[in-house]
Amino acid sequence: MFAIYKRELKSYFYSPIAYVVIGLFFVFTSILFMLSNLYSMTSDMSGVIGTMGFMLLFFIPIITMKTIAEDRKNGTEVLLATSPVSLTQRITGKFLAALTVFMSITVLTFLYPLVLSFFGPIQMGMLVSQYVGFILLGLAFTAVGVFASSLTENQIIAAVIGIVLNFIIWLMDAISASLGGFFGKLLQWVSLMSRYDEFNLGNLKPSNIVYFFSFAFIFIFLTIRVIDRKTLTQG
Amino acid sequence: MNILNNKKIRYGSYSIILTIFVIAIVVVLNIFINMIPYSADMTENKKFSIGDKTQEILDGVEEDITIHVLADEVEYESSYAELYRLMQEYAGDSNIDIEFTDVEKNPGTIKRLDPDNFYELSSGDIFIVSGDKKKKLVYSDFIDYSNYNYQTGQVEGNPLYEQTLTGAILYVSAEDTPKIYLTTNHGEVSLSEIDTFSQYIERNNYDIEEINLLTVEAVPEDADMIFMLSPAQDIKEEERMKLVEFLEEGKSLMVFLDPFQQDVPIDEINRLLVDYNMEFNKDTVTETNSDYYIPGQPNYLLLDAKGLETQVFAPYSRSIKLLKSNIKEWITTTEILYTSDQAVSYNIATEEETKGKAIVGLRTLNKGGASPARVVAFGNSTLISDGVTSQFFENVEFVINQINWALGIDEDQTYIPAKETVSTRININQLQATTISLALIIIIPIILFGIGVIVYVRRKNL
Repeated sequence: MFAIYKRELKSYFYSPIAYVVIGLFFVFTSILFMLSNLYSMTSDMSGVIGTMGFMLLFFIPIITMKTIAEDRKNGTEVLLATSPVSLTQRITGKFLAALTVFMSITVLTFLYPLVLSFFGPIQMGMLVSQYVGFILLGLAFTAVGVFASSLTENQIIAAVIGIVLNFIIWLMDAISASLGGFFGKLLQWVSLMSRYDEFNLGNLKPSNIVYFFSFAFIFIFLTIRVIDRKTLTQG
Repeated sequence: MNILNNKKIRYGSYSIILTIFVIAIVVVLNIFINMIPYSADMTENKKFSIGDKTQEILDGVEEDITIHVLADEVEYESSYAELYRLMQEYAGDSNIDIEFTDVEKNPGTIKRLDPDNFYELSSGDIFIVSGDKKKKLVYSDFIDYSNYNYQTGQVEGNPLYEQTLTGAILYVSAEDTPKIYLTTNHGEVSLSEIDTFSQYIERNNYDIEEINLLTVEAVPEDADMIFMLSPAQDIKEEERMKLVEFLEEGKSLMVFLDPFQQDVPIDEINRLLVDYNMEFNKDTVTETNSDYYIPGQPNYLLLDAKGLETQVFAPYSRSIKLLKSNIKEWITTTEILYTSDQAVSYNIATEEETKGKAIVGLRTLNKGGASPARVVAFGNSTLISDGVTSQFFENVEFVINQINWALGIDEDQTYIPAKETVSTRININQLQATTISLALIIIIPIILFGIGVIVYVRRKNL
């Protein structure tokens, strides 16, 4: 698995795509940071981190679009199926590589609270909670993106599917609020965003952390199922 | 071919069953984990947690209490996230249940809760019930409108969720709700001038109302305490007699009297207080010890207060004399607010100065009557004015402790401190902000894109 992880990571950072994605993300978030924090003279990063979470809807599918689709397009998927590395290890390695790219973006944004700390007090507890939420959201969206990539051999379509799925997840919370009643509560329980809001408010719940990991696990599991089925069909 | 198809069908069925099984296990695991009520409040001022004082109060509540929220739970959580989460902390207490009911889908709920429509309940209201005692809360009850900023059009500071909820719980679980009457007709300070303080009194489970003692035969029977808030003139003898009778029943009196610019008679007020070993002096107090006044303003006193670690701010005060002529074993008088030994009191009647410690607050317990009576006197009323309490919140705590003492309740039993407002302001000038913005928006991305270009070119040349 580690070999797959290293190979995937190299494929990201030995191509311009990772730098372009990270750079673009950083430009947008820095503009937001400038307006919301520097020119507003506040250390409250709730708005910036909340919007960063929304931007992941689009950026993570771009990172993950090639994870499975590229192998399928190049015809290397069948070859990999015969390698000693198990399917689970292969998918996990790819998932972790995509996650590492996401984490590089996250680490770069640590510059913001670092800058703020030179000019006034920062609310460390809130920041920790908000970043934990952001990282877990990225974890979940990365799993969704890898799953989307497993559904097609076209990377663009994989990205689009990933964005659409992320959008549905994002809208679940709003739909649950307007539905109300039992179905509203059910949808809210399933919704990622209502749990993400808890982190953004500064309320750290172990149940929410477990949920995000469970969510990612289910999508990785589904990815393995999809590829396994396709391999069997082709074999 | 059939065999192949069978294989696919078999595998397909196996895959679906396995997927459902795995998802079911994950769902069940999450349901169990969700039952763990633990959460870490990472906010600086712990706004999702109930304070020690509230916990102490809740531990003492034995009655079953239901908090009815007349709204759909999901919508309410979405609209009032902070209040919703704080309510869950109350629901953690075994005596308190929270019930969310969408009254638009269940219209009979309001009729069931309030058959006589006395409370005029509507969607969005909170209705707290314990036995026969009920309290209605609307969202505006949680907002401290004395912090309204006319420039921004917004209320500053934190909403008073905990104070309001705990006060309402105290109200419905208390056997009696203490009633305070504020005297009028002598140019007293009105309730609207002490909005913050009066809201705190109500939130801490007291009812407060105004009364003109000249228009009633006696102080109402439901009164537990009379507040005399800085009268600009003396009371009448008949008013004094009504107050004497009131105190002899074992009730309480709190008098705030600011210094006057001229020699205004206060004989009746002092006659009322003489049985409690007190007499207001006709003076104004200044300080010479720099630890006891605001820099540059020796009249703006910072007083030592009994039971408080911080000082109480009391601008423009008069002193109170502790009378030694009426020392009896059933009368206990305690100094509660006082200056340093280096204060100077200027008597406007005699035009004399007295140097030394000045007492600005005194309280007396008199057990000589049928029931013990308690009187508290302050030589200042601005210490609970909105302008002062917005900066010196400890003033509110101190006076509420004295009210509790006067009503025979543990001094700090019901005072619930407000959540601290966390400052997020940073000191950054325009030049610094612009320089940092340029670095973040232009320089760092250029470096990243540059690395991307270098990587692309190197790969192309391989």
